[in-house]
This record gives sequence, structure tokens and C-alpha cells, in this order.
Amino acid sequence: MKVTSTIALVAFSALAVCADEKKNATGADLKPIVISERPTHAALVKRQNKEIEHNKQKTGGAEIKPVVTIKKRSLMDSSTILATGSNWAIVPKGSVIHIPDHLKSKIASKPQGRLQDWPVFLRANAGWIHLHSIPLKQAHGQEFLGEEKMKAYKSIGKVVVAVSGGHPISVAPQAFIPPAEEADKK
Amino acid sequence: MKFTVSILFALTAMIHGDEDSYRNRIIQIIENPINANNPTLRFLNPIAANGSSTAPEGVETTSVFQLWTLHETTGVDYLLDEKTVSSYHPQAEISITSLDPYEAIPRTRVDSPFNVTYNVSGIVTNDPEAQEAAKSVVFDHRVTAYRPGETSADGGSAYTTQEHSVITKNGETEISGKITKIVAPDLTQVRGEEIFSIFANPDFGVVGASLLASARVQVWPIARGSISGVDSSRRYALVPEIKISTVDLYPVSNTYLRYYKTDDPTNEATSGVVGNYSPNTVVPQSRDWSVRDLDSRLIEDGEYTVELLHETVFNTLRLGSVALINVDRTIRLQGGVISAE
Repeated sequence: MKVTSTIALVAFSALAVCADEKKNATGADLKPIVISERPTHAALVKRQNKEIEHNKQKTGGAEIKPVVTIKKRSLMDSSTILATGSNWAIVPKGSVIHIPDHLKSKIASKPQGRLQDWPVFLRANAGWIHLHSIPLKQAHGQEFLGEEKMKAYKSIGKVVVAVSGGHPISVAPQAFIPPAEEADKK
Repeated sequence: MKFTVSILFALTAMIHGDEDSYRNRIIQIIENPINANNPTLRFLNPIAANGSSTAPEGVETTSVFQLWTLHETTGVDYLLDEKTVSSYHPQAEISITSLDPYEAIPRTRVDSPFNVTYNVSGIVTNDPEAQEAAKSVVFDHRVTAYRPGETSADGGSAYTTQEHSVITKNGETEISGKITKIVAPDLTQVRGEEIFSIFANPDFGVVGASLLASARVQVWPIARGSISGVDSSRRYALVPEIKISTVDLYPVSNTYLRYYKTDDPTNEATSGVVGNYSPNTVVPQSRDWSVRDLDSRLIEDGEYTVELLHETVFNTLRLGSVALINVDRTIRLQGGVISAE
């Protein structure tokens, strides 16, 4: 006799992993987290409009008229770039008061390499940069630089940078004109 | 009259999040007594990321001190702060605060208001004979949106004037709870800046730059994000790696996954957080990362809710949709035993 018995289904469950269930799995701070509603574009516009309306009521809705002119400024636009190819530094436009022909390449139209602080750049390039100290009156153009001094700094074959108090300073064009010539111009 | 001014700027070389690539410069713009349209420029020696510098020779009449930051290789410049110093015209100060305590450049998120406080002194209020220019200063507020993904205004940015009004009284004024005026097709994703300035009137001893004080607040978007890598219709014996994708996380924030049993969210034994990313920078961050060890955290069978949370000084937001993970480590055996005689 052939007895066939079939166990149709044997199923059992087992937890494959069961750590200490009472201990928090992360050890993380489980203080309640309050989740705010994410603002929508419409809600933000509504708040904006509310404030605009409030301001209109305050000003009577008057059109904004300029009282002072505000210009956009740029440090680079006010600067002359001195460059070696691997490094560059900036000095005020108008502070480079003499450039010998053979050093014209040291004046760059855009940055080359890495920017250096002026004292560092100056130390590294002292061979071709000469500092010419001037008082503020000369920088403003109230006083002539002086024929002899101009002749002297032009004769040393270096790029000449005007400084005041040790810092590069722009020099007004009037400072290069002898008083007599200036009087003639007037 | 002559006096010496010591200028102290809270420098923000890290404004672009790349501290080493920017260098700070202080520029002195000196009033030229013989040519009002051609002020004299003096570049003061560079200073470190925090510091003060004394103006050489003091300040005669009027000088404007500007603090710039300059990119080391491209030369891109950014005006960080400006102060006008003079012995004979009004003085002004402006400060901006928000819920975010970061001070170098005040900042906020588009949905969070900020406060503007300004203090004006030196306006002539009791001398009818004084020149008209001495009797007021000008308050100016303008805004611009940055290009998508950018963290500063580019050279051609157009600023929209929101306010340009005359101040005739000395003293402190506080405007609290200001909402950004930057406009965009989707304000939740807007990024930009608002500049508040106070100017002296022309012909008032101020030449070249007539700015008395200026402050800027940067406005950053609301972060977005999503989680992927799991299928809510599947049952997992081994929880797979969860992929997190985020855009514009607030500069100082904490973003993480929170998980809990869907039908028992407060049970500490089966809930927690994992996969934190906590930037501490100066501009929004976009980042993708993965969480691999969630499997060891979801210790009981059942359905878990997993959500991506973004915590900032303003509040905690859920980024994207929640994910449902069905954990089922039950081992089922199906088989037959056949015996034959």
C-alpha cells in the first residue's frame, strides 16, 4: 500500500534579527520634532503684497523719485594692475606716475596669476618698482610735484608708484603741471 | 578740524564660501578740495580677516572708507562695507538683524522676516539759516535677485528701488518684520540681496561718494530635497540604501532622515534619526548622499515612515514626500514531504 501523505504547507516564522527592542536604535535625541508647513509661492506673494499695500498707504502711493544719484562702483575699475605673469597687485588709478618703455608689459589689463598683497608684491618686485612719497596736497593737485623730483624719478628706469603715508595714492593731473603753465592755462 | 579715525570692519572674506580665494582691501577715498569730482584714492595695506586699521595722517574734511573683497585670480570684486568719516556732516548707522544670528553679512530665508535699524545724527533741525542740504539725509532701499545657483550679484545686475525717501529727524528708527521685496516666478526659490543705505545730500561737504552708511541682507531660498531607493509596494528583509538628494540647504542647517513605525510614531524603540548632513557655511549648499545603515535601525517588522527633515534656525521642514518601507524578515518555507511505501 502506498501511503502518500502530504504536508501541504509548513510555515514558520522566525525573527532573523531581534536586537534589544527597548533600547533606542540610534541613541539619537528623540525630543519631539515640530515640522512646519512648507511655505508656498502664493503664500509668500500674499505676505509681500500685504506689506507693499501697507507702505502705499503710508506714503500715499507717491511715485519714487530719485533725490541722489547712486553710481555702481567697482574696485577694479578704480585700479591699475601691476603684474609679473604669475602674480598681480592693484594700486589706485593715477598712482603709477611713470612707466619706462621697457617695463610697459608690467601694466596689465586683467589679472594674471594670483593676487598678492601690496607689501608682498612690492618686496618681490622691488627691482622694477620705485616708490615716490608725496604729501596729500600734491595728490590732490594743489601743489606741483617739482621739476627736479620728476626728472629724478624718471631717470631711474623703474615703474614709479606715488605713495602717501606708505600707501599707494592717486595723483591728480594738475600735480604734474608747473605753476606757471597752470597760470597760462587759466 | 582734523581727527584720526580707527576703522573696524567685520570682514567677510568667506562671503563666497571659498575663504582662500578672496582677499580684503581697504580703500580710502579722500575729498579733493580743489576738484569735487576727482577725489583722491589711497589703497591702505591689506588687513586680515578680522582687524582694524588706523587711517594714516588722520582724516581731514571727508573720507570714505570702503572694504572690498577681491578674488585672487579673476579679480571679481565685492563691496562689503563703507563708512563716511567727516568732521562736519551727518553720521548714520544701519544694522540688519534676522532670526539667523550670523553677523558678517546679515542673512535670512525668503519666508522669514528681518529687521532694519538706522540711527541718524547731525541733521540740522534748529537753524533756519542752514543750507537745505544740511536739513536732511536720504534713505534708500533697493533689491536684486541673483541668477539661479549664484551666490552674489553679477556685474550687470539691475537693482530695483523699493524706497528712496528723505529723513529729516535725528535718532533711531526700527523697521521690524520686513518681508523680502525680491520678486521671482517662484518666491520659494528666490535668492538675492537687499541693500539699505543712507546718503548725505549733494553739496554737503561730501564729494565723490556721498554714502553715509549701508547694510546688506542676503536672502536665500527654501531648501528642496527628495529620498529615493525604496519601493513602498515591496517588502524588505534587508532595507536597501536610501538615496538623498538636496538643493539649497540653508548655510547653517541640519538635514537628516527620520524614521518611525507608521502606526506607532512615538515609540522610542522603533524611531530615530540617521544620515545627518550639517553644513556650516555662508551660502546655500546642494548635496546628494546615501544612508546605508537604515537596515540595522529598523529592528521590528512592520511599515516604517521615513522622511527627510531640514532643520534651521527658522524651523524644521520636511523636504519632498515621505517614503514607506515595509520591513518583513519573516522566513517562509514552502515545501512538501512525500513518503511512499
